[in-house]
Amino acid sequence: MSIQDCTIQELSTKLISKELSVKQVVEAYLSVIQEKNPELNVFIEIHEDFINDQIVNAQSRIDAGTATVLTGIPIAIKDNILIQGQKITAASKILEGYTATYDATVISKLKSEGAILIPRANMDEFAMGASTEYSAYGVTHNPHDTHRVAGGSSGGSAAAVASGMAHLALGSDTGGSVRQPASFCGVVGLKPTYGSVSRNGLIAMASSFDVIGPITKTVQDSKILFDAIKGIDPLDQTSVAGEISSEVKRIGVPYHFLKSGIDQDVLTVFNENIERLKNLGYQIVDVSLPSFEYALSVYYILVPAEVSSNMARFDGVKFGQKVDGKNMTEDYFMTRGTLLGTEVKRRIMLGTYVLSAGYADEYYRNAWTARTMIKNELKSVFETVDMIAMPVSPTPASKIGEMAGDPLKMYLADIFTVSANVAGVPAISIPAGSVTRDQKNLPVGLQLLAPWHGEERLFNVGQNFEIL
Amino acid sequence: MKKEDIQHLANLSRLHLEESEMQEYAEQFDEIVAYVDKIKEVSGGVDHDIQSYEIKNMLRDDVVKSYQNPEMIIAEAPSHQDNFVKVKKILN
Repeated sequence: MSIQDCTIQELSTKLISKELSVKQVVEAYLSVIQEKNPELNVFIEIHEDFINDQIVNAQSRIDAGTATVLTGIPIAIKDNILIQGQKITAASKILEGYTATYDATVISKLKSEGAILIPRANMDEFAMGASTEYSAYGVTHNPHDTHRVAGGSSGGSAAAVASGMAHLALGSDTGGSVRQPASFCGVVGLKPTYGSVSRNGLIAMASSFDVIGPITKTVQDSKILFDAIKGIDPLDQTSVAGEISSEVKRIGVPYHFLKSGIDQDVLTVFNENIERLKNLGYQIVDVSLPSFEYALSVYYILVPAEVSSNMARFDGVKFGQKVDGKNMTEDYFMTRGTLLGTEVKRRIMLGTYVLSAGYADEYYRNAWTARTMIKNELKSVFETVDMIAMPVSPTPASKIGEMAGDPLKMYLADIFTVSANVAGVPAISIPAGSVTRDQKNLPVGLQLLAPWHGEERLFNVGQNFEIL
Repeated sequence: MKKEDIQHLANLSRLHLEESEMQEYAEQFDEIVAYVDKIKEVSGGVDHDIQSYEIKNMLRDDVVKSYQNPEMIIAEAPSHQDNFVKVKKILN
């Protein structure tokens, strides 16, 4: 069995028994990076000295007998999660050359486990996009078909795990940015309950939606990484912890939501998945979630609104790069106008629009009303079912360039993933089959949603469902 | 949406845009706004809680702590001098 095919548990056992050294494990992944990164563009940059220091530390922990299950395990880190002393750009030109001044809470936790952090996985600029085509450092190619996108915004993280460049990865999910690339790349992606994983040190996109989540090959690995990064953090004001029963008997499917706008082959895979869940003993229930039809509008009003506020800090004064104008005000215009990409500028202006005088009531306030309706509706549905199943994306991975110049088409592809972020509930994408396009098999994921703090339900059903 | 409307939004957002960009955004905004207009069907009657379920504000004591390495933060500013962030003259 190759190093890449091991689970965390198997790899950890080999490390602790000295069958393998940390250096051997990490080099197995680095050699794949060296071989495939020029073609796939998964990592924006590899920080060799940082990796070498971590190898030494992890090995001495193992030698001292103080290793944990993640000691020596390579984890790709999305380019929007801060590691002190390491460069980070959120895939934007505006942060080129910027060095992080502190560790994100998730990074401190993983460092304390002796995990091997591998920055910097490619992404859409500031996590705005669904394909990494909006990265200022080029698109990440899908390992299953290099003419297609790896998905996004955490495309680098998902492609790293799928191609064997890292054992695990961290991404961030604001509207599907962990689950959709995981689905496109054939790996497991978890979007945890909002607030269960600290956002401290995650470069903010939309603060009431953002959450950091694991991308892994198996559901069990997802649980191990989630357990390592979750927990209350005084540095995140919306930090929250909780637990509910992991038992699942009834799974709801909102069939009314799957009637149009979905690729027929993807729907066939989904229907087969539902049959498989039935055969595993789960009772499938048709559930109604009428407010879900507003979810995408809610998302594309509230997210740009929060983006327009969060992006105000990038002004050429405090961080990264600056483009000079004739005076201070022109510095702002030139820096932001020149160094921010198309999609980021589009969302800043959309957010400014929906928040401006005369429109805020029609858009922003109504979107919050609809957000509350969606949450209330989910809450009552979860009184009758233990979990909800849906597709992840209405289509398999698109061809590179297919969505160019049509942002609405790209936004509409988020239809099945945004609801979990709008409501704050946890959701997971699990490899569930494939569809054939241009003689290539493209992975398709199954999405499961649980009530708030129901991650154990996702792992429980996910482990029964996945085919290893 | 007209090009002038995009220019206005760009001004509010402190973004310099090229002519070609403004034209493209104007067309795309029409489509996107037409889609999210669906939200106008939603009528009140539901409390805005402006919070997620079970999310409470995490409050902590407001204690001043000294930070050991301000130089590291200042060094990241594009322009700095003597441990200060440097900007162009604002008042004449």
